[in-house]
Amino acid sequence: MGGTQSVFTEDELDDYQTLTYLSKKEILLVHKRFKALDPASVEADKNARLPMEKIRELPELKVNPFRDQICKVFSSSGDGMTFEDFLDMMSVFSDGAPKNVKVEYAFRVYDFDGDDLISESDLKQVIESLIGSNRLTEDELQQLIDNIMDEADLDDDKTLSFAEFEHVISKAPDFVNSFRIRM
Amino acid sequence: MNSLKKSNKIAPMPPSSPADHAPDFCTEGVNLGHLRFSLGNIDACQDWKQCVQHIKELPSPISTKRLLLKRFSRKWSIQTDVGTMTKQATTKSQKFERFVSDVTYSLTLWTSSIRAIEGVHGSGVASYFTFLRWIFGLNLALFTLLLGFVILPMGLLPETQRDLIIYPNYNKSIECSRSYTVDEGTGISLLFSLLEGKGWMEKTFMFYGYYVVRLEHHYNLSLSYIMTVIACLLVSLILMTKHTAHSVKETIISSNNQDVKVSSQVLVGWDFSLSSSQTAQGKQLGVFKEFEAAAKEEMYLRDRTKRLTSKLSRCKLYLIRLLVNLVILASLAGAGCLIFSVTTLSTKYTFQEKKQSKGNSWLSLLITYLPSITITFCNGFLPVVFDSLVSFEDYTELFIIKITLLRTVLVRLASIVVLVVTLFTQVRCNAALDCTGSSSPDCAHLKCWETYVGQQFYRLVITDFFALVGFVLLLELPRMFLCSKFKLLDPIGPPQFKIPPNVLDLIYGQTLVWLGLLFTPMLPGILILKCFVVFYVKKLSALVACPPVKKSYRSSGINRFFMLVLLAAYVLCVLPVIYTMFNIKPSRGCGPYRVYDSMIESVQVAIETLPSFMAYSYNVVTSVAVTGTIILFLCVTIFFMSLVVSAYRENNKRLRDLLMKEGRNKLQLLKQINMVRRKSPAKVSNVNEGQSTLQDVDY
Repeated sequence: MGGTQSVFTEDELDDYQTLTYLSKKEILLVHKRFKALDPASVEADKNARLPMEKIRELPELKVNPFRDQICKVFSSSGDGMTFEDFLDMMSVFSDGAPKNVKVEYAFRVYDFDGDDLISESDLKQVIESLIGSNRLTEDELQQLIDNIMDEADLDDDKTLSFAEFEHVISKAPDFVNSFRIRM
Repeated sequence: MNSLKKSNKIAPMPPSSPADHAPDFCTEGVNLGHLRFSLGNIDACQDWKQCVQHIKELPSPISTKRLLLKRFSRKWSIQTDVGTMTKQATTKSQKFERFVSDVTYSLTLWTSSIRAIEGVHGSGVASYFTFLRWIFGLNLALFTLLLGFVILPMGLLPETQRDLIIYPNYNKSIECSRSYTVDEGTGISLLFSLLEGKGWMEKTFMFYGYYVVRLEHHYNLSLSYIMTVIACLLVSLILMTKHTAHSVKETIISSNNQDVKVSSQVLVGWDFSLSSSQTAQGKQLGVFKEFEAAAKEEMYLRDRTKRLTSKLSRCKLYLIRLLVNLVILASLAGAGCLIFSVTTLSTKYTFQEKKQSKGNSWLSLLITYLPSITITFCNGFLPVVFDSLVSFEDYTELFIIKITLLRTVLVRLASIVVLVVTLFTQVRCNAALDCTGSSSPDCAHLKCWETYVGQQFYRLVITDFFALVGFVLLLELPRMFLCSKFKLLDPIGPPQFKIPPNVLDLIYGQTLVWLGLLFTPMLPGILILKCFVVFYVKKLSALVACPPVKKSYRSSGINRFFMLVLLAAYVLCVLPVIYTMFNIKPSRGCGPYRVYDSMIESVQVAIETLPSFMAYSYNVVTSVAVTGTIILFLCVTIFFMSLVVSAYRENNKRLRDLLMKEGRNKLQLLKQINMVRRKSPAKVSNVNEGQSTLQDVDY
């Protein structure tokens, strides 16, 4: 990986290692993937701000039904992602990131309206994203949402707070495995 | 670092709440984007390292974190300017950790292959491949140990036997060693010998029989042989514990996940690692089907209770289940008998043939391999029968998976147990004789029973390897090919990559290594090669032969089960190995223990040569008083731990109640907010603050 090594100085790499859960090799690999999304602009500026359309071209995001939410959550400015945003995202999705960090971001991804609560309408959007072009009847959908609320909504306020969300996720052991993008 | 200057202006998240409840200069102008994360945590840090850890965990963009890092470093009066800041943040130990993680990352095999497979099949199938890689690494470690302490010393140390005269069995062993000869063979029979592990193979590093007693240059080969085998078993246990500790913890936390079944189906519904659009579509359909199936399962249960209201139909169902279980038990017993008789027959035939004349070499190859083939066949065929029988029993979907898996495991373990018992009876039968004695008609006369046992495991590993490769190349690939060509075969469909049987295959392979280690020191080396080839064959199977499964596979509950199976298999393997070390008389004519009465005697003899003080302490440590105390101490610890566990459980319940109460409080508060808001909109900001403190408590 001699060619990419020169992209960052040792200090910058040290910096990134302090602030993310990635190793040096992984950081360089992330940069390689970032560069592949738009070689020309990244060549000009290694921390270039790529528009969302380019970011969505990442294979894992392209097929992910929550791609818009993910882009929104990780973009620091709201339009497009810089390399640092991208690195942030890959760090959270890496094997090294602890569960609580992953849970935090998962909560934000599922919180479509951004009110820091997962409401019934958020859940509806989650389910609809998950099943894609397939359709559940209105009754089935409502039944599903009711079931979730029965299980997870401890205080009966018809929304999931972060604490309730974390409680549910802590009981689903598959979470850490599924909330992951391999480098 | 331009971004550092920029970050002041960046306001990361919409809900703009300047973190005004932490009026520290460090946090000035920093928007954490979240009420839940106050900077109080970082302020309260004991040292700089902890502070960095906290900043790292914040869910904010890198630029914000960098800014915080800089400010807090000022607070901790750490000299900073932009360039050297992170140098201060990383200590030497962290540097070393990073170096290690870099090295391990670049040494990790198959990362991109596993990524490609995960992209198509999801994390469930990928976990099979990571497990395969783990087995590969485990055997690499075992093989390195054996190579360093047994195989290389054996090859390098010069051969003299001057010290051995002190042993009382010396003359006998010389005599027996002379009578232990092998037929080297020529031409094609060399190849047969390689496959059978006989002939010239017996006189290689592969088998126990080749090793001799060596005491040169203060290196005691007999001692190091037994110690290395014990070390290998311990290393396996440690690595296994390390590997499973995390997942066991996870599964214990989620042990009662039945009450969040739907939530986890939805909230953990997507596999973020998927990258193939075809699979993603399949996954969406799968999730959809799963949601539907959840409703159906409910209906099925209701339906069944309705059907079973009449006593007659219930009796019929129970009768069927009883019958099916009887059939399964009968087939298990049949398989056991088959393995026993085939193994005995094969041994007898081999020795008769040796006595009389050279028979047909193909026939003899087949007969030598008959036990291994029978066992592998039983392992492969019986689960298929069980699979088809279970449909008569009218269980729910989830239970079907569990019971079939349980029965499959039973077959695997039972076949190994039967083999070990069979070998044991043969060895016992042989132990009464010495090398020159004539054999009784009932038992085969084994000149070096350790090598004979080792050969069995050697053949089993090889048969298992060919079965695995053959299954993919001769069954799965043609099936895939035919299914894509002919519409007629649609009801059969293309093959599926089923995780449970594949994982059981791996566990079975490892079991053979643990059992055979003592008799075939090169066995881990063979398994390394096997894993290497199997990885690529299975990759072929996953990426070419098996289309992604629509139905999503939940690994959670099953993973714990696999760990239990691996542990059970380990115990099952260690028991006979330890028993052999202590209680079975080694062959006089071969191996590093030919002058001893038991393998463990080599340790005792070595201890006696030590200074008396050390020998005395060894005797003390192994005495009943000390071991008894240790066992007692362990029992007390276990009891104490179980108390702690139950206390935690209690605490957990209380916290959950607290959470619910807290939530109700919040609801109450929200109502009040609304009332206040209606009265005067200006006070809203104060209330916001109140809410944030509440959520801090929540968190």
